[in-house]
Amino acid sequence: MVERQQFQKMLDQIQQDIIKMGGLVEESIDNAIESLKKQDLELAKETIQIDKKIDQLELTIEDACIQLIATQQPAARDLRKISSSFKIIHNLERMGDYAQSIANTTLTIGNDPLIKPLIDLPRMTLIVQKMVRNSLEAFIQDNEALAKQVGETDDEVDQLHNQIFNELLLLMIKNPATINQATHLLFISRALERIADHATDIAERVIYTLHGIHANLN
Amino acid sequence: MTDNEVVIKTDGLSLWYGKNQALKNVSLCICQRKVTAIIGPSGCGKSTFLKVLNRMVDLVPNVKTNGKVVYHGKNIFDDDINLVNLRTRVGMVFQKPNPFPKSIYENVAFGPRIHRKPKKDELNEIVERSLRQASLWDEVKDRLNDPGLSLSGGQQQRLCIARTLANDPEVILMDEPTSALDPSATLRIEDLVRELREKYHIVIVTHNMQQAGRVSDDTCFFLNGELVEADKTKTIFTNPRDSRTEDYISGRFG
Ligand SMILES: Nc1ncnc2c1ncn2[C@@H]1O[C@H](COP(=O)(O)OP(=O)(O)O)[C@@H](O)[C@H]1O
Ligand SMILES: [Mg+2]
Repeated sequence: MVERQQFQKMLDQIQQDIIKMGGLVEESIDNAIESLKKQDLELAKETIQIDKKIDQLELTIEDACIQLIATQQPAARDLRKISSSFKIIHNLERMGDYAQSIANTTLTIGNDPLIKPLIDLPRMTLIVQKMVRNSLEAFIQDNEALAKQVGETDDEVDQLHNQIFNELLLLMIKNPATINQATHLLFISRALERIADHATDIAERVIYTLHGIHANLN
Repeated sequence: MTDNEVVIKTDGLSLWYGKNQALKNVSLCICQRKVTAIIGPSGCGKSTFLKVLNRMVDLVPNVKTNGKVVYHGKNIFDDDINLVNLRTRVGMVFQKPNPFPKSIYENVAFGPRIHRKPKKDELNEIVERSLRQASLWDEVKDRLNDPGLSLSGGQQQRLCIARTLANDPEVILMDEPTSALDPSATLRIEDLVRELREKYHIVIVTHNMQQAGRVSDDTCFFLNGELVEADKTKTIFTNPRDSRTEDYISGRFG
């Protein structure tokens, strides 16, 4: 059997770049939440710089996908892998945007004292980061079980988001002076929840790449 | 797929050239008003399969067949089949354009003149209609008496298509009809195939997979004389069932 070496090399490069993009997304989520926790405004500004790199990488990968389609006429699973790559880089780019807006919120909150110790948000962050990592790993390794696991974890994130929402709501009712910051924190929780949705989308692309069917994992 | 959509059906078709088995138990339906592409690596039996469908393969010595090819409810291997009739109804276009060493007009008029003995006016009409259908008319209408061989390769192939159409076929078999043509002549033939599909049933053998993707509705993948998979072209190219089909259309062998 003649393997298509040139083709495989280009496809491998795309996948490596997707992993790299995923790493940057994880880093920016991490920075964004850390900067919030520590009220480290410098770190928040760095996060915004990472987003530029993520956007750039999206364009690079998109070009590589286009070139592969135009010159190599991929079919079947190869084609699905590439069409999924197209979608996935968009998911990652959106995640980057959410991380960036979390960082912007950190800057808005500035040095005002936090209205509550942050416990659930960092917990949620850990789960969301793992979802991002696992969804990409599932994609690169064609790992269906791992993809499905990402879909299940999304429920946990939704629950945490609801919990945070209720808690902040109570706080606002008790003490209207907290409304301003509580709204910001709510927005951050919502951003994390959306990032998890994008990770779930990626997991669904794994199923599509493998079987050509559009699955719904959440 | 209901039975009345089926034009030709092969049932357990096997074929041997002497001791060499070229087709193995092929069961396949060719459907109405569709373009069916046959793909597969060299030597897998594509041309053989095509040549069985109008029994052109009979011209090769020492050929033995088994199984059935049912056309209009009748097995074409039956003794009482009219071969001349079969070969006009199931016409064939070959890989290399092969016009007769005659004028453009005579190339197209040849078949009808023998089979139907039409009057002059009627023959003129058939020639014009066939050349129009083959989208060659505008290029040759002022020089119908020039030799067919004076045309370009792509025009010669369209002339051969016109010659086939003049016999009023129902099914047109094409064996790699563009493999000797340049890219733009190829695309013209492909467009033509899509147009002809409105009136005829077309089976096209191609070793160019992208061509199968562009022109066909259904695709059949052959390997070593076996039919591995037949399905809608869209399915074959995006999500084939058999891993051998997947490897072939992904360019991993062949
Ligand atoms: N006229 C012939 N005489 C003997 N063997 C033939 C003849 N034509 C084809 N074959 C053999 O039959 C097999 C299928 O050939 P063919 O139908 O031409 O394949 P394809 O069109 O897919 O390249 C090959 O092994 C080939 O060598
Ligand atoms: Mg052949």
